[in-house]
Amino acid sequence: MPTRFSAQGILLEDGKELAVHSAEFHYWRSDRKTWRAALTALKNIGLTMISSYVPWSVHETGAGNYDFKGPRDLKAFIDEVEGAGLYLLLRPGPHINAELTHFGFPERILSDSAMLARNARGTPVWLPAPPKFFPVPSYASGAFQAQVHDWFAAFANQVQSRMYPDGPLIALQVDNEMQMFWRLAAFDGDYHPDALKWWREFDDRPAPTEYRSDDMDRLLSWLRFKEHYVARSLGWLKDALVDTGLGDLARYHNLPPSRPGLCNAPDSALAIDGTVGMDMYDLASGYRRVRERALYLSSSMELPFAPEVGIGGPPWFPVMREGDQRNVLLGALAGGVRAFNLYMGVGRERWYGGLVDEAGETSPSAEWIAPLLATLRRCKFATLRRSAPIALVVSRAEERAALASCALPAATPCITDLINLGPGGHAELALDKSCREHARWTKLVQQALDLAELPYQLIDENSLHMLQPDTRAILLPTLRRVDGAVWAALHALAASGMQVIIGPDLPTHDELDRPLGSDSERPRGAGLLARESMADVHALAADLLDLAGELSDLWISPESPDAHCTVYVDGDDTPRLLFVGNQSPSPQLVLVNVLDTCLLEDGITGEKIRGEGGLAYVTLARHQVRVFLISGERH
Amino acid sequence: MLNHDPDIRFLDTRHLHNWWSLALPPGLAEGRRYAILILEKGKLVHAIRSGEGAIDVSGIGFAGTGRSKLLALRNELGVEGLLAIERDALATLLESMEAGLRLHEDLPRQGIGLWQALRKSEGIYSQPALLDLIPPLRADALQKTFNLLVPDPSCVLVYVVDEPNARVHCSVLAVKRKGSIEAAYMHPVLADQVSERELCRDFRQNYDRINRAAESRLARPSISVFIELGAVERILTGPADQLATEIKARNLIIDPAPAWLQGLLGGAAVAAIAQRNARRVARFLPEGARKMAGELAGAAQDRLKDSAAHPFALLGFDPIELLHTLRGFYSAGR
Repeated sequence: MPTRFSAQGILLEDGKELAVHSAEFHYWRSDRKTWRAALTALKNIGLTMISSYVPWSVHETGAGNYDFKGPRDLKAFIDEVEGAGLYLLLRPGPHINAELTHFGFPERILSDSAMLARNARGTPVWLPAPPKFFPVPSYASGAFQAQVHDWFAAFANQVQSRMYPDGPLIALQVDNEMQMFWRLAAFDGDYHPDALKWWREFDDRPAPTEYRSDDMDRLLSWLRFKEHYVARSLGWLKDALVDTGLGDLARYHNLPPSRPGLCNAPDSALAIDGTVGMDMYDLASGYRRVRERALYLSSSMELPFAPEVGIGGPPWFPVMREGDQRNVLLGALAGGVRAFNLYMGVGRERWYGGLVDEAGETSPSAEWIAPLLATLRRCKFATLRRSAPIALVVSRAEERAALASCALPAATPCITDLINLGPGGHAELALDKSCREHARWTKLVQQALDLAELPYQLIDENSLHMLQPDTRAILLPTLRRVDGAVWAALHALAASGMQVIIGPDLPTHDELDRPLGSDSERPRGAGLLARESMADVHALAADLLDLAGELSDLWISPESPDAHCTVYVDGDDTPRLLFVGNQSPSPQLVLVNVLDTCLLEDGITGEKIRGEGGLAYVTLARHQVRVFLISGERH
Repeated sequence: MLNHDPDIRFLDTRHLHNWWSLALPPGLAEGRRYAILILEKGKLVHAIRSGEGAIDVSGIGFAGTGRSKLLALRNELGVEGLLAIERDALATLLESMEAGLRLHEDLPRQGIGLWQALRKSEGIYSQPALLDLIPPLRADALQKTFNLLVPDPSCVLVYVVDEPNARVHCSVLAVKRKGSIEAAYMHPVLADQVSERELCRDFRQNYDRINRAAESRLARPSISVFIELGAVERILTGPADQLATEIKARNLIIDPAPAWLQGLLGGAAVAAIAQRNARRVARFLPEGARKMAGELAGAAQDRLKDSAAHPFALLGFDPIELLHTLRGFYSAGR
C-alpha cells in the first residue's frame, strides 16, 4: 500500500514517515478565492496535513446527481492543498456531523423508511441534534448500503487520480464517530429487518427486547452483537471504498469522546484494516476523562490518534474556551496521543473559533499551537515512549451486563456518564450488582495508581498483545463475570511469570454469564484485591507500589498528590519531554523530583526552570497541563 | 419558525460563554445534589444519590409520589432535587416522542412535540415539580403568535452591555424572513461598522448606531434590546416591578419596540405602580375590602388575557407568568 498508518504516524511508500499534525478545513464553507491564504497560514503555523469532510448532502443535488463545482470543487481544493505543500486526509462519511443539518445525509435517505434504524418498539431511532432532529439510518439496511456505494463511487471519481504518490491524498476516514448515534441503551436498536438478519447470523435466538434476570445469556449476546454490528458496518464501508478503487490508502476511524469501556476500538480497527482513534472535546475540568481516553488509546492502539481535537466548538454546547482546549490537547499528549487533527483549522459557520479565519488571519489559539508543534518536532515526540510497568485491563463483560440490566432501560450512558450518578457512572443504574461493583473497583484502582504516582497502561481486553515488554503486573478487577478469552490470556500471562491481580472476587461466569466451571481456577500466583481496599485507597496505592517493584524516584511529585508527571524517553532511555498536569480545581505549586543538572524549558512559553536541591518548582493553574523539554539531564 | 438550514456565523466565543452563564440559574452550573428513585408498579426498586451512586432502598422511607411526600423524602435524603420514575416510563416516553417526530418539521415544532409528550407522560414525578411548569404549547399557535409579534422581514437584536468594562457582554442578532428565523449572528457581523468600544462608550446614546448598521446589513430591526449587565441580575432577582424601574433609569432600552411590546411594558409599569400603591393603601383597609380589591384586579387581568387584545391570547398560556415563576430559580440560587 502506498500509505499506511504506523506507530509514529503515516508511512509513505518511499519510506518517509509523517507525524500526523493536521488541521480541519471545510472547503465548501469558504470562498474559493480564500483557500490558498488559509492553507498557507496553516502551513506557517507548522501543520503538515489538512483534513476535510466530503459531505454527501452538500454534493448531491438529487439521486445519482452531484455537484463538484465552484466552492464544491473538490479537485481544485486538492490541487490547492498540494500547492501549499500539505498532505490531505479526506472523510467522505456517509455520516459527517460537521454541524450540518442531518449530519451530511441527504434528506431523501432519511425520508425512506426502508433505510431507517428501528428500536425495539419498531419506531425509527431519532437523534436530537441541532438544527433539526432526524431519524438515523440503519447501517445493516441493504437499501442504505446501495446508496452509500453510489456516493462513494462519485467521491472516488473525484479523488482517485490524486491519491499519493500522484497527489497529496494519503488517508481516508471510514464513516464518523460510529457509536449507534449515541443511542447505546440496550434496546434502542438496531431492530431493522436487515439488522435482525445480521443478528440471526450471530445468534439464532430471537432478539431480546427487555431485561429479564434469567435471560442474561441472550441479553449479553445481544450487547456483544451491537459491538459486532459496529465492526461489521465499518467493514462493509471499508469494502465499498476498496471497491471504488480507493483501497490503497491508509484508513482510520474516529470514535466519539467516550469512556473506554463503551468502545471496542481493536475490533473496529481490524474491521477497517487500519487504525482507530478517539475525538477529544472537553473542558479543562474534564482533565481525568481526557487522560483516561489518551491512556486507553496509547495502550491499545499502535498509533494513538485523536482525529478531532477541539479548537473552538459548536454554539449549542457549553463553551470550550481557549484555555480549556489548550489543556485538553496537552492532556491528550501527556496521556500518549501522538497524532492529532485540530478541529477547526479554519473558522466557519456554525462554529466559534478556529486557528485561522478564511482570510488566513491567525487567532490567539495559533499563538500556542505554533510553538507546541515546534517542540513536538524538536524532540521527535512521535518516536518517544513512556514506560508503564502496570497494566489495567479495560474489560467489557460487566459493562455489557450494566447496559443489559439498566434500571431505566432507555437511558444511554452517553448522558448518564455526564451527570455524576456516582463512582460507577452509568453502572450505578444497573440492577445487577456485580457490574455496578466492577465499575467502582475499576475506578478505585485507577485512583490508587494515580495516588501511588505509578505510570500505567489502560489496555483494551482485545489488545493484550500490545502489553509493553517491561510490564510487571496486570490488573483486572473481577466480580462475577470475565471474558473467557481474556481469562485464558491471564492464565497464560501468569504462567509466563507476569504478576496477575484480579478480584476482589474470583469470577464464576463468563462474558455470556455462563458458568466458567473448571475454568474458574485462579491464574497461577494471582493475587486478589482486598475488599477492605474499597474503604482505604491509600493502602491499595501502597500495595500497588510494592507490586511495581524498583522504580526511579525521578519525574514524580510525591508532595503534590493532585499532580501527574509523565516523562517520555527516547530510544536510549534519555528523558526528553515532561508533562505536568494539575487535576484539581485549585492552582498548584508542583515540586517535581529532578537532578540538579536538569533544565526544563516550557514547550510553549519558553520559560526555563532549573533543578534546585533535587526539585523543580512548576506552577500550574487549575486543571492546567504544561509541557517541558528536558535538557542537561542524565538518567 | 426556524429555517431548516439557518445561517449561523460571526460567533464570538466570549459572548457565547456569557450567554450560557446568564441563561443557567446560579447553582445549576455548579451542580446540585439530586436523587433518582426508580419504581416498579409504585414500589421502590432502585435508588441513586448523585455522587454516591446506588444506595440501599431498604433504608429509604418511600411513601408514594404525592407532592408533599416527595418533598419530605427530598429533605430526608438531603438533596435539592428528586426524580421518581417508573422503570418503563422513560422508554414509553421516548416511544411517544419518537412516534410524533416528523422530518419535515422545524426544530421548534419538533421540540414542542417532545414537550407535549413529556407533559402527558405518566410515571414521572419530580420535586421541585418541574413538569408542572410545562405550558400547553401548540406549534400552530406559537407560529401565529410569532408572526404576529415579530414583523417579517426584520431582525431582533439583544445586546447586554458590560458598562464598567466598556464592552458588550453578549449579543445576538436574529433575522426573520418568511415566517422563520433564517440567520443568527453576534456582534462581529457589525463590528466593522460599530465597534464594541464605540457602542459601550455611551450605549444609551449610541445604540441607534447598531440599529442603523443592522438595517443596512441584515434587515430593519423590529425589536432591539439594549440592557446593562447589572440590570439583568436585578430584573431576574428583584421585585416584580424591577423591569419598570430599569426602563425608567434607561438601564434597559427597547427601541424600536412594536406596539404590543410597548403596551405590555407600559402596562407593567402601571401595574407595578398600582401594586406598590395598593400595598400602601391596603394597610389601611379592612380585610374584606382588601379581598374584594384583589379579586377585581384578578378579574381584570383575566379579561385582558381572554380578549384578542392580549398579545399572547393565541398561545393559551401567559409567558409572562411563566417567566415570573422561572425567576424564582434565579433568586433561589443567590
